[in-house]
Amino acid sequence: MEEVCYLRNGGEGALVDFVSGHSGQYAEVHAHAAACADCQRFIAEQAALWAALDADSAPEVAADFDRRLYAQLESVDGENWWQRTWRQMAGSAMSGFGRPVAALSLAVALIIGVAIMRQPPTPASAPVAADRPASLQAVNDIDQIEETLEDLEMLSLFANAPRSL
Amino acid sequence: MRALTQALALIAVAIPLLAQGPPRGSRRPAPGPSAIERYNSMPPRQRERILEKLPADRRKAFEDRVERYNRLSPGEKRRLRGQYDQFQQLPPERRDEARRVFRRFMNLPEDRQRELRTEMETLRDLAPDERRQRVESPPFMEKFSPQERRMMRDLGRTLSPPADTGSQHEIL
Repeated sequence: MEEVCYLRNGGEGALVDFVSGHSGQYAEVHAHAAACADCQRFIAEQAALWAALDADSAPEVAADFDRRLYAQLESVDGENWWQRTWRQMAGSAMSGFGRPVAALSLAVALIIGVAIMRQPPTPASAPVAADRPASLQAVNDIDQIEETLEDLEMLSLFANAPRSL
Repeated sequence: MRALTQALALIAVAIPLLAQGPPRGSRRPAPGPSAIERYNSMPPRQRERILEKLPADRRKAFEDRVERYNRLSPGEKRRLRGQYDQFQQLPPERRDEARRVFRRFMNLPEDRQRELRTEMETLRDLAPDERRQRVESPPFMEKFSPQERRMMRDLGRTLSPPADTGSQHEIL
């Protein structure tokens, strides 16, 4: 039976619960995530987010923050920020020089995007693995220790077995 | 228009290459006996947190094996580490095959496991001709089923160094 991927099937909530430690289906999520790079990445990102939220207290907001923000958004000529951005992009693309630059930029951006998505999570980007003793990393380790123990037991019994019978 | 065509060609070439991802089968190397020492040095609470994730039977097998390993003398551990390093030199397929045979062995009833181990120790100490005579003898054939005989042969073959493969003396 094919395993259902939480991330591809709208099960992000289950992954978030897994990270929070309140998952009712810890074993299932763990078993799937151990073999699914996408879910592992999601878990790592989620854990990083939580860690950042825990670590950083929000800076105090200035009294006139809202007023200054709206003033910037509704800037000169009554043009919104997105209208201005769109006009600049369109103008660049329609100019003789802008067309190839825009096309190549699009290509490079797409390639970089795909390359980033294909990257396996590194230890630095996977704080779940580093910080949680009962996490995927720990259980992966236990799998490896189990394998080593099995190898050692096999060798202790049969390493000196007759090579040919 | 030409730039757009070039960009599309670049995408068409690059994306399938990138989509292949890292090479498959690049398994993490086994941590070796040092991982067991690391496990042993963990605080009991941390060990418990790891073990509690394992199903009961797997946990028991794990703890039994750790205990057996810890009971070994320093000299035995050292010898076993040497054998482990040699085993790691075997091709991964050979290692996996040896593990499969060993799991079949572990599924035998305990009395059969004992019989096979004793027999393999006896065979190991014999000269090749004597060994051959013994494994061809009717008592040997009666004592061990064809599956058990194959198991003994496969364990010896898969655990032997690469130079020993393809031996001409397999007679079980």
